[in-house]
Parts: sequence; C-alpha cells; structure tokens
Amino acid sequence: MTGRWRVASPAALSWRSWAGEIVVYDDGSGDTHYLEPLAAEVFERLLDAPADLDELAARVAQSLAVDRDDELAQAIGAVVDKFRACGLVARQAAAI
Amino acid sequence: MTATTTAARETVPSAAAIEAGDFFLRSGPFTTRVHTSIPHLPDGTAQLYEPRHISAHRDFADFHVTVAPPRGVRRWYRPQVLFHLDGIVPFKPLPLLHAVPIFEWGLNWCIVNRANSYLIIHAAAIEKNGFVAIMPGVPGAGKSTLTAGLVNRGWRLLSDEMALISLTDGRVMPLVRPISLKNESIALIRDFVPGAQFSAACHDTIKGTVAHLKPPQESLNRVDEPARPAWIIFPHYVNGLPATLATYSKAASLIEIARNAFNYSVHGARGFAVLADIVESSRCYRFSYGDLDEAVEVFAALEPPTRAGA
Repeated sequence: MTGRWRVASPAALSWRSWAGEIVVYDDGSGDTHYLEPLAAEVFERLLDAPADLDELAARVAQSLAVDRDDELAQAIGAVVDKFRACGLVARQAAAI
Repeated sequence: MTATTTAARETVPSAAAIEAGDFFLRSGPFTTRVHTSIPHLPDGTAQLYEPRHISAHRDFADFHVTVAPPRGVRRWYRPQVLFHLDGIVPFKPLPLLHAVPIFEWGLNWCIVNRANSYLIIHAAAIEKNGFVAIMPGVPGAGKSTLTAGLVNRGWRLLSDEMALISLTDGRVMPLVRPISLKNESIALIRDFVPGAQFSAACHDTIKGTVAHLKPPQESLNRVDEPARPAWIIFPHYVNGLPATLATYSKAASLIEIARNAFNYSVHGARGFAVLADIVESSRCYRFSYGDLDEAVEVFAALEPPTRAGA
C-alpha cells in the first residue's frame, strides 16, 4: 500500500452525497458503490488531490476533526485497499 | 419501443375477437397482440382487464404473444400451456389450468426484456394527491398484499410489479395490471376488500396458490396519468408486529433501488442520474407491518417532501 493514490478515472464517475454517505457510479465498470462516511471522506479527499496514506490520514483527520492515530491510519489503509480492489483508485505513476 | 397512442382505435372490445382468441390488450403504455387457443384464457383476461383496453384491432402492438398448448401428446394427456413471444418460449410448460398466470408472467417477461425506453424497477407504485410511493421488494416482502390493501383504501394503483420510470422526467408511468396474490394473501384481501374481483385461484404453481385481483376502477380510469415519486418505501411483512415506519439512509436506498431495477445496467450513467434524482427528491423509509389496517393508517399520515428537498 505504498505510493501515492489517485481517483482512477474521475471522468467516468458520477456520485451523489447525502448525510456523509456517497453513492458512486462507475461508467467504466458499470458498478455502483456505497461509501460509508469514512470511505466517503477518503474518496472526497482523493478527489481533492492524490495522496499517500500518511497525507491522506492527515487530511481526513483534519476534515473530520479526529485524532490522527494508528486506528485511523489502519482504517484508511483498509478503505484504500477496497477502493483499489474495485478500481476506484489507482497508484499514481512516479514522476520521471 | 413505441407506445401506442391511437386512442381513436381503442374502441369497444370485440366479443367475437376475444372469443376467437385473437385480440389486442392495452396495459399501460404497451399494447400486446394475443393469440390463444386456450378456451378459458380470453374470459380470464376479460375478467381482469378494463373492457375498453381489449379490442379487436389496433394499428400497432409492442408484443405479439401466443398462449397455446405444446405440440405432441401433452396437448391431450395432462394438457399443458406454453407462452411464446415472437417465437421465443421463455418458460417451461405449465398445466393448462395455469394459463392465466403464465400469461401474466409472460407479459411481465416481455416488459422486463423489451421495454428499455423506461427504467424498470421491481417495485409496486401507488399514488395519492399527485405523489407516488415506490415500494421495491423482494418476493415474500408483502409488497403485493400491501399494494392490494392500499389501492382499495384511497391510493391509486400505478403498478404492482414494475414501476416504469420515465428517463426524461423521472415520473412513474401507470402500468395498471391485475395484482398477483399468493397463498394466505388471497383470503386476506378477499376479507379486506369485500366484492373484490379475482381470477380463479390456480393451485400448485411454482409460487403456490396464485390468484389475480382486478385493479380498482379509479386506477383503470387514469392509466394515462403519470405522477412524480415522493416516497421510497421498503416494505417488510412480519406477522404480529406493529406497523413501524423508520427513516432510511438515502445512499442505502439508492443502492437498494438500483439492485431492484431490472434494466439499470442498460441505462448506465443516465439510469444512475434518474434514480439519484428520485432519491434526492423523495423521503426514504423502511416499513414493517403485520396488519393491513395499521398499514393503511401509517400511509395515510405520510407527509410529502417539501419542494426544497426531501
């Protein structure tokens, strides 16, 4: 899970947000994803800009006004892992 | 897919055509040409549908179906019936006495597989004062029983099985067809709606005992009036439990309603946008009930969403 992560294909995605939850439709895969509040927050912060897991934890902690601790880092790692598995995020190519 | 609009040709039913087993049936925006050699099917259809929606001639039919016995010995020995759509046979043969249910299920199949000009949700849809409640539900959730009860207590039936959503404006198009009831629900609705018109009950079908309930006349009179969704309600029948209406997450509602849509994947991003708009402007609930009278009271107290949002 090292490296920087970005939303894989923002142009192919449609999403709606209600009460901290998000539903994302991926026109590339045809899949529709339900994002619970933490996953929704991670998704929105990655839409802001690509980030590695540390940066992401910092952004999410600030946005949700929660402690940036190991529990948060693990939860964010798990969310990014799920996003990667369903194609919502991809590792950003290293700059040459 | 083109909706037939030639109301002028929608003339009085031809008794001769019905008797001959060659007639046109209008249900919602669809017209079906029916050929059948099953003696009791024309009568069964005439019993459940509005007479003015059955005619000897229309200029156009969306579906051409045949309901007839299979070839071979099963024409005479333990006779069976088959449903054909343009030569396609979607179901295995059923006993001849199940001709009315196989016809209804066959029409469902036609609409689900061919009517992609709408977003089709596996849901009941009922309307009151211009506001529609969409009620998605898996089989056994009590959706049809609830619908049959409510449309006989002041709500208008738009559909029992398939909510047809316009892709252009998100309104629900009426598809007023007989309500399919199963097993204990048949007696329950007979008691709840004295004088209700039912088809003959068919026993030992794949769904158990099945009977179809004719929609109320008011609903049949207003088959050309679409209406706007205001509530998304996921019903669940639980014997003996008090009626409970609980607010449900909009995001979870969107996921569930998409899961219940027959052709969501066909419409891609457009389908998502239409469903998301409906969820946005509707109030979303989970509803448990164990008694129809209580359910009627809960639905009578539903507040429509405000214009600014749900």
